[in-house]
Amino acid sequence: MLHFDLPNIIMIVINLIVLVLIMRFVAVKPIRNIIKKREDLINGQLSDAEASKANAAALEAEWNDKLKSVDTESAKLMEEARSNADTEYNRLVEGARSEADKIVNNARKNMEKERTKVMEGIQSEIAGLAIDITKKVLETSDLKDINDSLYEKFLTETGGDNGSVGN
Amino acid sequence: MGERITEELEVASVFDIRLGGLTIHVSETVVVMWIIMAIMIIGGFLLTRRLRVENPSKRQVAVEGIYSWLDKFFRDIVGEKGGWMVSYLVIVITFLVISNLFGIFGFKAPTKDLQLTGILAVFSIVLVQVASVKAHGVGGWLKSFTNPMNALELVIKPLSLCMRLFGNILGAFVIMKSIEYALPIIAPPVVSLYFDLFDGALQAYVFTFLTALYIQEAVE
Repeated sequence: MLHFDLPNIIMIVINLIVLVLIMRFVAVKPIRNIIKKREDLINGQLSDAEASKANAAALEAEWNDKLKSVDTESAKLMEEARSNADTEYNRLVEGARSEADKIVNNARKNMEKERTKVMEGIQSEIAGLAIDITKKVLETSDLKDINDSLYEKFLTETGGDNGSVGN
Repeated sequence: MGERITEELEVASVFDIRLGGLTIHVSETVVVMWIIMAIMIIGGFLLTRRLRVENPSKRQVAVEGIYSWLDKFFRDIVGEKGGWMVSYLVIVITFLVISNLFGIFGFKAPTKDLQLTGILAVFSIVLVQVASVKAHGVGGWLKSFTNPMNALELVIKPLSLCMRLFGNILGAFVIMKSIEYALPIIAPPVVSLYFDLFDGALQAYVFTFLTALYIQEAVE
């Protein structure tokens, strides 16, 4: 129990040193290695997950941006198309209106011309008719003695003022 | 009865080695240490074979769990600067637990030999000083002895460490033997739970815990 024995003390010291060194190599190191490896693996997976999360967030933001720009883009396009359509419509309507006006004017002018022509025709016809009637009346009646001057006057009145007859 | 206890307490020499003219009486302590070393090394080797990162076996989970627990326990005490001491402390606590419990199997526990506990205490105090030198440099380490308490502690700490461990194991042994003589029927196994198992583990814990505390003090 209480004794001092140098050779045994030396042996105990050697035993302890050998034990610690061997146990360090045989047991502690492999366990530490495996724990370290597992930690590395887990940390790697965690950082991977973190990276993919960040990536996903970035992609989402990008998509949102794109969607927003698409929205504004489409709104712009719609606006543009609408204004284009409006100007086109206005142009067409304006064109159609002026065309129609032109046609109407032409038609009116033509009608006027036609009317004048018809009127002239009618007047000369009426004049001819009047002459014929007068001739017949004169031939058939006994009014041969009617003053030549009166006859002349009638002719000049009807022939010379035919513009006012139609009105 | 007293004689028998005294006889049990004697550290007998198991066999002699002759080296030229010198005869070495190899003591029981050394022989039991060899047995414990063999158990620890072979056990350690077998338990740490085929460790896997994924899908660890139950054996591996248990080994890793116990090691991590001890590692964390000592690392928390000694701090970052004393981290290199952790594996020593883990090995020593394992050795002490096995040694203290070895009496149960009919061997003489090697911690019942003051030479072993003394050497372990000297190891502890040497490592504490090494830790101090590592943390503060040789100058800082030498300066710490200007406080006479620090110089005294160089003797007090290892002495208290080795005496506490030795005394507790010896005391538990004496009490167990006395109870075996006095009440040989039912009492021994029940009391043995406390004096052999609990006290053995507790003293191993106390020894390494105090060593770790001393290291922490030294590296601070």
